[in-house]
Formats: sequence, structure tokens, C-alpha cells
Amino acid sequence: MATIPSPRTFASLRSPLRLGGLLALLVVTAMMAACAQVGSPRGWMPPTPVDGILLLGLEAGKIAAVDPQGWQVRWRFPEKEKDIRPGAFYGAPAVGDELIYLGGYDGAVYALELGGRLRWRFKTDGPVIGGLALDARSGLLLVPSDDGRLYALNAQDGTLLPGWPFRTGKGIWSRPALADDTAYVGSLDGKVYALALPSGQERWHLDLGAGIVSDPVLAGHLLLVGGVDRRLHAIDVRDGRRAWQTPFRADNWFWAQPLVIGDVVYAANLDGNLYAISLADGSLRWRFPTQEPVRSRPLLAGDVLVVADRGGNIYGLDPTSGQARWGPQALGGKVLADLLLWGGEVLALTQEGRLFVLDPATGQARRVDIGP
Amino acid sequence: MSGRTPSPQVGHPGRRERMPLLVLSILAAVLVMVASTGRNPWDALFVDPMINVLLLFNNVLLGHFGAAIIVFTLFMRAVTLPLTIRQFQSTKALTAIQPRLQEIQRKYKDPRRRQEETLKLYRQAGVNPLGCLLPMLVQFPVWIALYRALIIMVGGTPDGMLSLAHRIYPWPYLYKAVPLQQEFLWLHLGRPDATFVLPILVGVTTYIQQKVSTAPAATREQQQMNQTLNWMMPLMFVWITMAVPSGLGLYWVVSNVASVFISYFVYGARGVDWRRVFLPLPQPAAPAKSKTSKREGHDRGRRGSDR
Repeated sequence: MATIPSPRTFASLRSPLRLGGLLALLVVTAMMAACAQVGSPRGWMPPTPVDGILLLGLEAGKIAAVDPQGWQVRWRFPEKEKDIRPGAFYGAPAVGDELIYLGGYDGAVYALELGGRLRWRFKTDGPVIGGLALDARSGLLLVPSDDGRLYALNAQDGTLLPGWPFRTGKGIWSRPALADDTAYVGSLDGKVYALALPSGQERWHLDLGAGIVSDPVLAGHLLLVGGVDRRLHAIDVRDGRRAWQTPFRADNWFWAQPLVIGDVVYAANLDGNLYAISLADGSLRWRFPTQEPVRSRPLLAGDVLVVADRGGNIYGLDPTSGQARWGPQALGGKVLADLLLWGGEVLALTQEGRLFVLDPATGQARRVDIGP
Repeated sequence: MSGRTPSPQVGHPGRRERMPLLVLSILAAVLVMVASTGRNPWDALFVDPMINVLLLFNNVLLGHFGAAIIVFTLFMRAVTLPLTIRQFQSTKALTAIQPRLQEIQRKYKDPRRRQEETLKLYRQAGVNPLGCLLPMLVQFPVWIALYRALIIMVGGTPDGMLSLAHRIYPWPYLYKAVPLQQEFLWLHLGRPDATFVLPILVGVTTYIQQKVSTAPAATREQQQMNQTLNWMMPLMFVWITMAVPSGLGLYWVVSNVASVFISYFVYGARGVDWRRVFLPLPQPAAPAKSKTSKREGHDRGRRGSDR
């Protein structure tokens, strides 16, 4: 039965075309509301100590060098350079004796003097998302790029070294790990590569099947790496083979860099758990559920294991049993950047640019007002 | 039931009356189930399945995410095709009685009488003026969810990836899709098109799509509204496309083109009046006499065949 609207209904609608117009505007409004959520990259560069000051990403695409004695900003980058628009900083900077190296979402690597002046820059063909790695011995700076290449630069002048860049199948979002004369890097193509330094020759690679986003970490001859396949893998770097018979499996991606203390791997997962895993065989020792997913790396402060979830809830745990000692301590902001242990206290930087200092023994947090 | 003319789309009255209740009950049950898991029901029921189907298409199409968007858009148009056809059929029916509606507008000065006569005409012709709007309303959640899915997927930023992490189903085949290839033709799907080609394409296809699928106006007021919308909507889409990731613009272009094709097949080759697309709209209150009479004859014939 066709439903014919009553005259009253029809009068209120006046005409179907008018209603159509209204609906069309509704669609546009809905789309605009949805599109408003297309955020530009914000970045989650971890607080980084450099020569007694702290580098903080207080706002997207800008770094502030803050003096912790009084929390005043000494310099900012970029400040007056109008042609420099990094967009965002995600990975950890590399710090040398004379220079600080930052990877920008605009695809550039910026080498700054300790006073914040730009010494040189090098442009890659994709955003630099992973952290930079500096091999102080050879003066070589490794730059992972979303263009799928790993660049090796002369750290002094930013020139590309011969034999580089090393090309992978997809973008590189993780920071290379360095040991002796080898660099280990995970790519979004699902492979982990071992490259000889400084030549860039491939020693081996292992296909893990799905993109790698977490920074690999070395523990003796084991390389621990996690990715979007929801597994944490242990690779024997001597031959590039799997060290654990079965990789440790969680319910979501491993994005945070694992923390290795003794024979235990502490690996945070986006499924909202911190896992304590045996380094020897990848078996689970305990897990601690957080309220939200965890992107930032846990850290050990004294005898307290501190972990922050995305919702800004901080927890202090017993590293042996996984029992909570304190927390959750809610900071009231998103925490994606790694925590930093600074002078016996824990620094947590929220995505909103607020800095908190926590006492790891009690979990007491105070917000720091950063001066101009 | 007396006084109401059965429509060709009419089903069994009892079943038809029970159907919305049944659908609402099922929907409520599903919502309660999803809400009990702590997930956002909107995301769990609409956005996440779309994201996963898009990832599936992406892998099937060898990692070409742009192609996946095109195929997925066509797939979604196919899924909602019955609703779209119903919407177009209602528009077509309204178009068929336009000359008689215009005649009523001219003939009756009293608004009350005019409204009565209009309703009478609708009853006689078995036309539901809301018939072209209800299917559109049903499709709204699909469209909005699709926009949201695309926005989450085409961003390409690490922040966007974090958001995606919770939406991918635990099927290893899908993991391989991450991260999505952002380059397609001249576009970077995660960024607005700097060449302005895509915004222009979106504007042109939106304009054509609107022109071929909008019922002609019966009154000057409606015609003014039609004219305003016909220009406003494409311009707004152009403006939005210039600011959003190209993946969304690609979706709009494909969706508009698909819509024009559907109009072509619903209305038939002779049913789509291409002159209306490229020429100004005719004046509704004073249509050309010969043209009106010709069309009336044609419409009567069509109404006869509809019955």
C-alpha cells in the first residue's frame, strides 16, 4: 500500500523538493562534520634530553628546547625560518656531540646546532616518521623514510653516502637499531633487514609477513620486533632466523618499542595490555590490562615499571609480578609519545602539549608550566 | 483501504506493516549486543565492516587502493541499487505528472483547494511524493559511514594508522593491506588534489547527476530552489574536495557517474532529457503549450502502461 501523507503532514513539508533541499544540506553538513576529522599529523616525538636541556614537541611541527631549571624555553625550531614547515615530528631525534638531528613529516632531516640554529637539511621523498639513528663511531646518520628507503648521511654535512639509500618494498616507520657494524631496520613491507655499515650491503632479511611499525630492540643476539600482524617476533641476528618457535601473539598491533630488562621483555600493545614475556622462549609471564591502547614504550624507574596508555592514564607496576603499585593516574590528555626518565622522575608529554612530572614511587603527578 | 489507489510497489499489507517493526526489533537487538561489548555501535555495524571490505578489495586488486575505492564505490552502489531505483522511479512518476501539477498551480488560486487537488492527483496517479526521499534517507547512514571509513583509511598519517588499528578484523590476509598505497594516477589519496582536476571533476559530475535525477519543479518557488541547489551543491562539493583527501573526491566522482548511469537505465535513453542538463530550466508556470501537450500525451501513455 502506498502511503499517501496526510494534508497536514504535507503542508508542513510544503514540497518534497524543499525537503530534498533540506536533506541535501544535511548530507553536506554530515560530510563536513566527517571531513573535519581529517586531522593533519600531530606527531609524537618523545621528550629528548640534550646537553642539559629537553627537546619537547609542544605543538605540531615545532620543537621547543626547554631548560628544566625553571622550565623556560631557550629556543624553538622552526622559529623565523618561513620556508621550513616540518608538519610534525614523530620519531626520536638523534643527538651528537655538536648537532641534533630531527626527522620531519615534510620528508626533511634537519641538523641543528645545540643552540637551535639550522646547520643543514636533507630532503627525502617521503615523510620521516621513524626515529633517526646515529652511529657515532663512523659519523653516519641513518634516516628511515616513508618513501621506502633508508638513507645514510654524513652526520657532519648531510651528504648522502655512496651505496645508499637502501630500498625496501614499502615505507619505513621504525627507528633502525645499531649494533657493531650492522643496522637492523623493519619496514612496512613486512621484512626486517640487516645491513652492513657503512657500505649498506644487505646481510640478511627475514619476511615476517606484515608491516613493522615498532622500533626494533636488541637484547644480546636477539632482535625483538613487533608489527601489524599482532605478533612480537624474536630474531637471532647472527643468522636472521626466528629465535622463538612461536612468536608471541596479542590482540592488536605492537607499536611501542619493547623494553628488555634481564630475561623479560615488556611489550605494550594497542589491545590495551602490557605483556611481560620470557626472552628465552616468548612465553607469557603476566599481563597488565590498561584502560586504553598503549603506543608509548614502558620504562623502568627505580623498581617501578611505568606505563602510559593512550588515554593519558599512567600506571606504576611491580616488574616481577605485574601488580599495580599505583594508578591509574589520569593526566587528562592523550599520551602517545614515549615517557622519559629524567632526574629520577618520569616525564610524560601529552598530545595537547602539556608536560607532566611524576614521582615513580607514588605516582603523584604535577603539571609543568613552560615559560615563553 | 477505500479511497487509496494501490501502487505498483505495494506488497502484502500485513507483512508490510509488520516489516518495519521486525527490522527495528532486529536492529535494536544488534545494537544492544554491540553496545554490551563496549564498542561504538555505529562504528561496529557500519564503519568497520566497510573498512575491512575495502581492505579486502585492496588486496584482491594487488594493493591498488585507488582501484579498491572505485570498485568498492561501485559495489556499494550495487548493494543500494534497489533503493536507488525506487528513488528514481518515484522521481520519474513525479516527472510524469508535472504538467498536470502545473495545470493545478495555474488553475486554482486558493492554496487549500490547490493542495487538495494536488493530493487528489497524487492519489489518482499512485504517486508518493516522499517516495523519492525515503530511499535516500535509508542510504544516508551508508554514505556517511563510507565517508568516515574513507577518511580513516586515506589519511596515511601515523595518527590515522592508530585509528585503523582497532578496526581491522583478526584475519591475517587483511593485515597485509597496511599501510595502504596512497598514490593513484596523478593523485595522492591522502592529500587534496593540488592540480584542481579532481575538484572540477567532482563539481561537474555532481551537477550532471543532480540535473538528471531531480524532478522538474511544479512551481516557481520550487524551481528557484532547484536552481539554487543545482549550483550550490556542486560548488560546495568543489570546495570540500579542495580540502579533503583525494580518496574522498575519487569516491564522489565514481558515485556520481554511477548515479548518472543508473538514471540512464531507469529512465531509458529517451527518458534522460540532456537538454535539461545543459540548458536553463523551463519556466514551470508558463510552459510552452505545444510541448506541454506533447508531453502530456506521452505521460498519459506511460501512466497507462504503468497501470
